[in-house]
Amino acid sequence: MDYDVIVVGAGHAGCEAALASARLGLKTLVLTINVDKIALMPCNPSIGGLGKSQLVREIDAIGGQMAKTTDKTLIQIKILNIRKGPAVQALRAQIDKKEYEIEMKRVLENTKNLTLRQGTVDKILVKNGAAVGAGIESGLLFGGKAVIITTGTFLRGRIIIGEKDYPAGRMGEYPAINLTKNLISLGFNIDRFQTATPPRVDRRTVNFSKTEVQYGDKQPLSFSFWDEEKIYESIKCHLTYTNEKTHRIIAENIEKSPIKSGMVDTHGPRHCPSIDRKVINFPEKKRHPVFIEPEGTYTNEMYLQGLTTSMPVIIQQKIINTVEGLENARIIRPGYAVEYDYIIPSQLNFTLESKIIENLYFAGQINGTSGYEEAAAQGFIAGVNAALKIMNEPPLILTRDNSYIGVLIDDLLTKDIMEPYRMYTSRAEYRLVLRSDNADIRLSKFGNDIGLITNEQYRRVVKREKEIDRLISKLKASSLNPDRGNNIILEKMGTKPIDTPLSIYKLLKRPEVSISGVIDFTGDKRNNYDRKILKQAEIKIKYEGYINRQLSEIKKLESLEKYYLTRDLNYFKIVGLTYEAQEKLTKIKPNTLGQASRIAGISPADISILMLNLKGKLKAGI
Amino acid sequence: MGIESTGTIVAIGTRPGEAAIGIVKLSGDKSIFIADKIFRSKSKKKLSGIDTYNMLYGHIIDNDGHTIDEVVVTLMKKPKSYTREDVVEINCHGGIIATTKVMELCIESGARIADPGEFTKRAFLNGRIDLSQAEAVIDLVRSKTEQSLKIAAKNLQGNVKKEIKRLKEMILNVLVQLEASVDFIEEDLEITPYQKLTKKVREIKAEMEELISDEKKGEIIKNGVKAAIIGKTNVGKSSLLNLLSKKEKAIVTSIPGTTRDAVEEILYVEGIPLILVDTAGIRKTKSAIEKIGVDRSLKHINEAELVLLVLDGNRKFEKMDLEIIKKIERKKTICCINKVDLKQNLEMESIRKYFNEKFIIKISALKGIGIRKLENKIKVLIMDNGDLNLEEKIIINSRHKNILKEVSSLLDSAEKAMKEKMSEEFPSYDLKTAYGLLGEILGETTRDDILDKIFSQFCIGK
Amino acid sequence: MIKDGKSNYDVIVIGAGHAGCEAALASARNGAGTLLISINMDSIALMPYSSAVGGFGRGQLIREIDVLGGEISRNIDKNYIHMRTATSTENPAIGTIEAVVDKRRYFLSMKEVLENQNNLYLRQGLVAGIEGSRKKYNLYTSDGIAYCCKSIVICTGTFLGAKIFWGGNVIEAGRQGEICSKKLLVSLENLGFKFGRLKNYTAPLIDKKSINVKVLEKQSYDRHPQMFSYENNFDGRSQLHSYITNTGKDCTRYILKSIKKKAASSCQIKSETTRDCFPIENKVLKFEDKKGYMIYILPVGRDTNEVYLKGLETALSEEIQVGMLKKIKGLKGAEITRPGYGVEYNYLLPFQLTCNLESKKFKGIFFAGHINGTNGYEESAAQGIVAGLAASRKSKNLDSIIIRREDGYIGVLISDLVVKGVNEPYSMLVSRNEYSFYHRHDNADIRMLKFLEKLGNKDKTIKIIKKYKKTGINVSRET
Repeated sequence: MDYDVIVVGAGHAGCEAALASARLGLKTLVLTINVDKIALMPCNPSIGGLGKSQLVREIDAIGGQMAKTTDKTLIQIKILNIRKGPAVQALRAQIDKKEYEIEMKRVLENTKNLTLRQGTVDKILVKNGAAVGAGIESGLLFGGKAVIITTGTFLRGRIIIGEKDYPAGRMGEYPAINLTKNLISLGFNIDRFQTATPPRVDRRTVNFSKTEVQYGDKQPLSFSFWDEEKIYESIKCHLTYTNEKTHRIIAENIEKSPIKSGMVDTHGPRHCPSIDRKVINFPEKKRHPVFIEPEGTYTNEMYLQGLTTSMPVIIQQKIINTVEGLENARIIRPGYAVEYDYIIPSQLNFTLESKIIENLYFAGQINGTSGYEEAAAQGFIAGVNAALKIMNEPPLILTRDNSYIGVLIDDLLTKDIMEPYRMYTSRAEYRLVLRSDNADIRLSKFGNDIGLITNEQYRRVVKREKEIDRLISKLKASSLNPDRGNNIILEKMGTKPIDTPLSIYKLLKRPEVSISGVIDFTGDKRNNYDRKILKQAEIKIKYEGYINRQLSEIKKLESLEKYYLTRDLNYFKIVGLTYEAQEKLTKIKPNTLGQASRIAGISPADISILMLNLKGKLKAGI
Repeated sequence: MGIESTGTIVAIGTRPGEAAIGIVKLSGDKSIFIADKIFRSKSKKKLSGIDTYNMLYGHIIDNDGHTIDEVVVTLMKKPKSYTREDVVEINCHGGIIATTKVMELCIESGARIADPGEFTKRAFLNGRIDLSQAEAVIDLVRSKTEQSLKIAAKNLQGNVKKEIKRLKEMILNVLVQLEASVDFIEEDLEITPYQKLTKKVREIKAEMEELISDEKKGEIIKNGVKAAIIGKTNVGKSSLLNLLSKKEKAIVTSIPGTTRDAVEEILYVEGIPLILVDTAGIRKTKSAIEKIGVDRSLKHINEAELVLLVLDGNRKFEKMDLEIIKKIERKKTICCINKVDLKQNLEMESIRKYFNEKFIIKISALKGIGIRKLENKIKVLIMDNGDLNLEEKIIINSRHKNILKEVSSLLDSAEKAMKEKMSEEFPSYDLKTAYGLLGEILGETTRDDILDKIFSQFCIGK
Repeated sequence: MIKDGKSNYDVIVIGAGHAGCEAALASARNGAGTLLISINMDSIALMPYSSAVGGFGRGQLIREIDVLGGEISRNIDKNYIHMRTATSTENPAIGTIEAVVDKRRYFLSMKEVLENQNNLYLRQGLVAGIEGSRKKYNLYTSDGIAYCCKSIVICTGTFLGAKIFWGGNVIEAGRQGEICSKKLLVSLENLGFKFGRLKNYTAPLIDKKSINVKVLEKQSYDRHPQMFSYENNFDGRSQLHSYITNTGKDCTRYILKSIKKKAASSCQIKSETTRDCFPIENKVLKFEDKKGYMIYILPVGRDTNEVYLKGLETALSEEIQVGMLKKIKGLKGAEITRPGYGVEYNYLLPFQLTCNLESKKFKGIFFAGHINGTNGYEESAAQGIVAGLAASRKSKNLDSIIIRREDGYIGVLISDLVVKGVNEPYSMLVSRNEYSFYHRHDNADIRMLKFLEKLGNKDKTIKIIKKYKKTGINVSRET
């Protein structure tokens, strides 16, 4: 049985990769250890957050699935940083985990050209340097033109609780053992990371009266651009805090915590450390927040965000019972740490295809990232590019200046990853332009070009963009004359009156003035503009100065990005480069001159020399 | 040293041999426009009006009308020019100081200081030089870069570098607060309130202004080689100073902002200003005032690039002389044995122990004996020694000055945004760019400082 | 091992399969403080084999469990996607109901019931050992916690010392993808329990889209089906069809040819003590001349396209499985989503149990479900409820109810197990029940009435009596 694309693993990365390649018309096979465990959320029951929600909306803008499944199975949604600027606002949704799994499996099963199959892959079939298929443990072989590996934390996974540990990819599920050996034999360098998850307690044993309640937003929202926004009736989350008693117990038993007892010596993510590490590193902090979040509507299991720990269970129980509201909470699932293999991402290039074996792609936690959204973004890019390469179409290369996905991949490929990588808005230097509200305007063209976004959808985006520009030019054209009536309105708005005619465009630049307040001056009614158009116009006007500065910076970067560096370049033969630069460039093998300039230790002079040396050979843009 | 290869660039190039004539070269699509802005030709013609390979004689005028220099301007229109772009060469006569002023005027009208070897790089990229010449170009780029790096580092005297590092750290602390309040909104972090941060940015701005103005006082822009004349009291230091300065017909040009040190004279050696500083005599002293004088001499010594040690040939070698020699061990020194016209009691062997024969000169400040030999020796030291290469030094100084100005305008924009209660990511954008520019001056390539600092400073833990 | 403060319970149930769930609910509903421990909280009441429940013999079991207050009947009524009455012309008395269940929804609603049952607590963990005697037992989990309790109900299904295998491929696992339990087996053996080895098989699942439905015989559902539980009736939901096909001669010939070729090359897992008549390969070997075998193509859920090939249970290698499907009518283009596989596991030789499934040697330790060598969800559930009731009453020093052969299918099941023993996975068949005329689907409530009363369930008893008084049958309590 031969397929075009074989996806190994059906987590968030695997699902996006398979759906993308199948929807592009490629015969796609998904192999997973257990077909009942698709798109699982082993850690927090939420999708989105700062940086992460931008990733999800960008995947959606180009034609991915995560946002749509989220809209279908979310039980609470809200906007974070509502009082801050649009560039740092983000959506965050609480998810019904099991409904999410069922829905994603339904989507996979009903996608044309996609076959879902249970099987533990233990070797990648390679013929003269290119992947040609995958073999599963029972001996069956599947031929394929491209293989995408999205095995999450299953490569030689090891679960650790207190002093006990046993081989498992997730609690109770045996890991993939011999795929790592196979990858090493193919020449990949592998390293190990660890991540941990907090205990779950029984809802009936929690005393909610002592906790602060957190509701979702009441305004119409949606993750996907293509779903229309609606108001979700949302369940409650609860906030409580650890206290001195909690910290004392942790301190007393710190020797038993795996990070101290040596059971775990690999790096964990700094952004979600265990409560043990928080107490060690910040002894002076009197309290740490604990969010009590439901795992789904069908279950009583409550997720304790902030109490991640892999202490022995007996101590986990004691720790939990010191927390306000959890005095007699009972553990259903103990917290645990999982240590797993990942491949060093600098062995990949921009399409996430490996530089060592052709047609072999890697995406998700296997690349050393943490988080469902980061995994889904990589899966989508790998799936799309595997398909495009087979159809020998130009690849979809996203870069730092047009998307968070570009930032994610560029960071993975150039930075030394010291801990499971998580996305933040502060990682994106052009975040004022890469906002989550304009992801469709920025990226749906890519989706339309490769065929995942229909022409009708794309036309809608272009139409909206035109309307925005038309509204802005209208605001520039119409001006406000300084008569008494207008000035009264201005004062009511809390801004100073005017004495000379002022364009509404300039008026809107004042921080305290909002577009809905001034739209009437143009003679149009507010409601014959769709809410999104008003919002986009307001952002473009209010923050025009900053946005233009970033756009000009992006233009400068573009000149370097169009110089592609071929893979077989021997940097040691290039005269004039420092030895350190030659070593680093050979190790990382950057794809473009721009990317080379972002590698730590490469100076502007090295870049000029690279440009000079290769002028003859440089292919300016494929 | 940005890496973009766009925009119009300007640089000083000295024509080999005649150090006195400085050339300011402009290349790029806006070079004619910029030149026309600052150049008034005698014949009232505009550069844009004349054909390629023609010259115009006239003057360079700054924005408030002062004549800076009398120049001859040559125009080479693209593609027939060195870089295959529009090239304008302004031949100045007023020595290095005037040339620098002309270059700064070009920058103010929109040019960008060229990277080391950028002219040659553009020539190559635009295909005027073929591949075979690539190696030569590369060595040029590499050596120029290394040289300018070395000079940049050395040029930034200790305190200026420390100052920039401190300001950079202060900006980082504000950035950490802004970014933490944006990316970690769900954590229970104690973020410093917005007004306090605004005040902090205002403080940084004030200190930045001060740093720039220092610079105007000559701290950085002192375009010249500093030489200190030292020795015990009344060994003839002042008379040597007057002798050296009186001989040369100095062209006095007003250099805005250079305050003169009371005992300082400018001497032009091959067009390069040599700032001679006469220091108070060094001797053991109890009196506080004189102590200050001695300390200031020591300060001059360590700032000077060249030291003229004056010894009185007529008096014995004393312990005090040894002490002074110890202080100037690492410095480039010429040992002048003065009053050679009197009876020589100074034991030469002890002198030869510390100085190479080539650098011991017998002079008589009173009678003017040996002065020619001394001047040649000074010229040798200034001209040939690499790290005294003045042209690079000047370019580095103006590049730093421009960066510091840009940083201060960014601080302005950040402060304004914060006063208007704009959301954190806007001032943070200004401060991040400023932070990067300061890193550039210090020669660092930026890393993930902000995130690293946040994790060490705040307890993050979702 | 450290004692966990809240760690003493009346009853601890190990394993949350169909037996474990019934045992835990029965025990908690009868007032015993119960703890249910499962290796993985996401694998509760799973159906690794077919999604069909009920039918002759098993339907009656479900009815009897329903009367005794069990959950299986109510959960099927909540999550069925195909319900029809199974009638037999020769013996109309054995008519009962057959259903096909949405597997994922079944698991989710059972978990919801368990979580909301008071004095029942759930815990994810791997039980590593058991110690103690008579009324006081200690139980240790692999993550270092000790619990003590009065009685233990062991319902570890096919997980004790388990291996799964298909073709030459063998993995130590209780089910596909799930780790097995080794330490508990060692601990039980140290206590002196005797174990045998049994094999069970599951069939491959295929993608509904890849079936040629037109050539297949449709098995339709009842327009207005009757529900399993006495309390429920039809809610008018939409239902899914299942289909029937037959292996046919060339499929059986293909299997024979491949087995002969295969047997020469790889060593089949030889376990002497078992006689397995289950998988298709053994059936074909045993009756070479039989023309073909019926295959029921059953949907496994409303939200999924996977369908289960009941009757094709196999542990042949994947190539052969793929090959043999091609030979079956309607399944020419079938795409396998999960290959069939066999599981070999330790089962307790049931002669060591009394008639309420309590260990003769260790009073207070009960065994229920596949671990006793039975096959089928209904058989496990029946044992679960009996063991659960007995365990909770034991912890309260009450005498336990004894269901005898003449009372109902549950009685027949247990006495077959405990008296006759088992040499292959025991499935309940009508032919095993000499009282099949009396143990009918509809009169399960009358037959279980006396136990209800003993359990002190007053209002349900009165309701049943009143129901029959109306129809003129006075049901005296003592029969």
